[in-house]
Amino acid sequence: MRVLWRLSIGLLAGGVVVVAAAGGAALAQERSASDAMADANGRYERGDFAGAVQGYEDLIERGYDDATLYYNLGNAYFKQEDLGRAILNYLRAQEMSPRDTDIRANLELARSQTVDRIEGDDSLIASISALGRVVATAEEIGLVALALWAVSALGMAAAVARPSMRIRSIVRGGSIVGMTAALVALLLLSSILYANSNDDVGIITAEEVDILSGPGMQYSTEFTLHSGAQVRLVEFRQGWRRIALPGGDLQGWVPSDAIELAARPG
Amino acid sequence: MLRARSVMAAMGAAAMAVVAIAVAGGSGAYAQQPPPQEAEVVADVDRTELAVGERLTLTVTVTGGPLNPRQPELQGIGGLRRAGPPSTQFFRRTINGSAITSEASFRYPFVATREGTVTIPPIEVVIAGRTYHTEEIQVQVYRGLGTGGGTPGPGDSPSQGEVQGNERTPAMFVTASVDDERPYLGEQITYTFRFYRRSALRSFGQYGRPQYQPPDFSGFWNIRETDQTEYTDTIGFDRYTVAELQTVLFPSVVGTTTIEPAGLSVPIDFFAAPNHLETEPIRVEVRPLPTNAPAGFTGAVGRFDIMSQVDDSAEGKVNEPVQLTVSISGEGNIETLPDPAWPEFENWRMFESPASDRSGVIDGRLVGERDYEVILVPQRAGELEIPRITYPFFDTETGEYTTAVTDPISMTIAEADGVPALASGADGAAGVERAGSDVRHIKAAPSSLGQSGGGFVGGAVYWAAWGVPLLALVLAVAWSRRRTRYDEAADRRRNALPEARAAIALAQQSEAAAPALPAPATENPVLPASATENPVLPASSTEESASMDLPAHSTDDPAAAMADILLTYLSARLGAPMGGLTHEALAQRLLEAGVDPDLAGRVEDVLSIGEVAKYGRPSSDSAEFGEYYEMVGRLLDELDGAISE
Repeated sequence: MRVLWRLSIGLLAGGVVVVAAAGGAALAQERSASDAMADANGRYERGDFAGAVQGYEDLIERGYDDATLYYNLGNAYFKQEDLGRAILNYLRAQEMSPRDTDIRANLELARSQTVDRIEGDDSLIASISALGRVVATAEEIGLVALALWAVSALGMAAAVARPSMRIRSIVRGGSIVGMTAALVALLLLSSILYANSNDDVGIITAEEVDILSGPGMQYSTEFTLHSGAQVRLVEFRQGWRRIALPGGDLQGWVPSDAIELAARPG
Repeated sequence: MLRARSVMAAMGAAAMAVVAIAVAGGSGAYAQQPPPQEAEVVADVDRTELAVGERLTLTVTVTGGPLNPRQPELQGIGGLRRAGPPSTQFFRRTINGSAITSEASFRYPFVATREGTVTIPPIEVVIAGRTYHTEEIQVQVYRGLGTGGGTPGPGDSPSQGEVQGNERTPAMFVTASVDDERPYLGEQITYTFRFYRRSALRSFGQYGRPQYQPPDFSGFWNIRETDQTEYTDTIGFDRYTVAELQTVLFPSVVGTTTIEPAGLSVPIDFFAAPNHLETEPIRVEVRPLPTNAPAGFTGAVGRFDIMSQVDDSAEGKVNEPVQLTVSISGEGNIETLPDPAWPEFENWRMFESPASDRSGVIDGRLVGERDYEVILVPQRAGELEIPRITYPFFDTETGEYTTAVTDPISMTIAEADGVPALASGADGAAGVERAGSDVRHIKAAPSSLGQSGGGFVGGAVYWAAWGVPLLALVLAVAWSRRRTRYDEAADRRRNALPEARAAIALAQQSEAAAPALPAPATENPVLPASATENPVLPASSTEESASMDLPAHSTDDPAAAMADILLTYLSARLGAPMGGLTHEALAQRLLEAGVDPDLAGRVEDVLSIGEVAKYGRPSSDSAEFGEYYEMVGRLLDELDGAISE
């Protein structure tokens, strides 16, 4: 009995030590990442924009995914006059934090300095998803929709289960309104998820690139795009990406190293 | 003045025959590979001494067993130029159908192009996967040896063609010349090749078109041939038709450069080899550019002008691109023209585009235009200027450096759309104007950075979470329905006794017309056998009648009415219709509900009396009605207490 007791105490102590060690390691890693970003910020402040870019990119390479990180990286690229990568990272930051006015302002500024003027996609789904992206993230919209649905469904369940409830009619009415709102939020979420999965957005990162009629240098030039132009990615082949401008009338092939996917890595 | 010499086809053929004999005899100047086991490879020439412009035939012979060698591929030989395609011969000796020896000969015609010692390097021959090499051969080429002088033509020294007599110029000859033998580095010169043939030479053209073999213009850029022109000219007493071909050249190396002879093969007979005409080589002395080049000079040589213009108007908006077109036009090597050194575009962001060229040869000079489309993005509002663009070049006409300059372009730039100018204050003070267009500053590093990973929304767990409230709603609806049914049964149970009593009271009120009460079934032998042995409860006690409304009695007989009231009560209390059950089944249900057997037996008696009254003799003793009602009332009370919930 005593042996069993000691064994239990030993296991418990060991568990506490392991948990504490894991927590400490995670905390240390977090601090290390924050320090690394502060270091990259310092380089930015000193005008070492290339060093800042390297610092931010290292953090992203390590798996960090943060709106502030992308925003600062976009700024560093902007300072290096790399409009394409600046816009790319502002977009990533905006996806995570759509109501941030700084991100929106810098994104608009960077876009205003691009050479190519490309009209936006005016399809219904694109409009809805664009509206949704400005208002909230897909994560936020999804959670709100779920919460609305849960509250209204449970309210309706309570009203059904307890006919003698004094505020039964109020609960029932509120539940119907909540369910309608949940349905709208669900449609918004669906359009965003659909757009995310079917409309891969790419940003031209090369200063200037010819869009060719086929995936090879032997093909003729269809049109030319410049850094920062936002396009839709249609197809991928070894070393080449097929892109289309909104509307689909203008499309062609571009070397993969001249364009980057707007979706966040990971 | 240049001269070219022809080589007689018959002479070449004779030489080849000599070579063949020499090879067959194993004599002559030749190089020999150490004899392999299966094959022997030998290279030989028909002569080891010849003059510039004369022919030489190189023969590579492979002898051995039953072989099938590939034709050797000869690299370029300095000082010798190929004068036609190689010819091949195979000899094979067979005995009884089997090849015992074979010999393959490959003959390559050459023409000597420069004097001196010419070395023919070892020639590689692959036979059955094995590589053989011949030994190198040296040939001495002399200037003028074996060639005849020609009669000068108009402005050029003609090469010797088909000489028709000592007193006359050749029937056909070729010349080559350049318009400037001392050009500057990068300065255009024009190389002119002319083919003269007597207009009276009727056989010309009957055996094929002449084949022009241009010289190797090494040391020059941008070789561009013009279209062939043809005219007539008179030399002495002979009238000639002249075909002229010009080539535009740009010297790329300082110093003396030699343009090798150009050749022309003219078919003159169906059976004879073509007459080969050749020009003399031309020496060109390329001078370096003067050293006093101005700042910004990047190597343009020629005569150029530069101009610039913006696309639409002299107005624009901040961050809206303006296209500036810069054109450099003139005479010179347009295709390799260096780009201008772009000035500092203050207050503009600049995006260069690849240049486009247009050029052509006009009057023997290469002229054209190069266009640059530069995108300029204004960075601030106000009066902005696109600065002058300069383009220094070396003017080949004046022999001096010159700089072409564009005019500056002034533009009025307005604020960008969506950037409202701040209004002046109410007191007339100037509003605040944003001067720059920089990004908003970076944000401080957060205390913890988010990690990448799949979000909750959109995953399987998320969509499963939507089912939980739905499940709760479904359960609530199901529970509500079940409870409603339970409540109705409870109501019926609760109201069973009062309603039964009310029914009895109603029956008592009409007792005046009621028949006499029959004796209890156990004491009354007149009960029908079917009713006593296997009595079945009246069908009037349906489920509808068990809904706790006052029972609808099927008869006016009090006993039957009491039986109906009792059955209705039992249906409500036990929660199931009792109509149609046998007495035994009813008794069993009562026992299961906690009723003691005696009480159950009394219930059975009342029901039996009712059945007798309904189907048999009606009751007639009205004096006992009151007691009977009371007995049924007490029975109901006892049952109500005995039936467990």
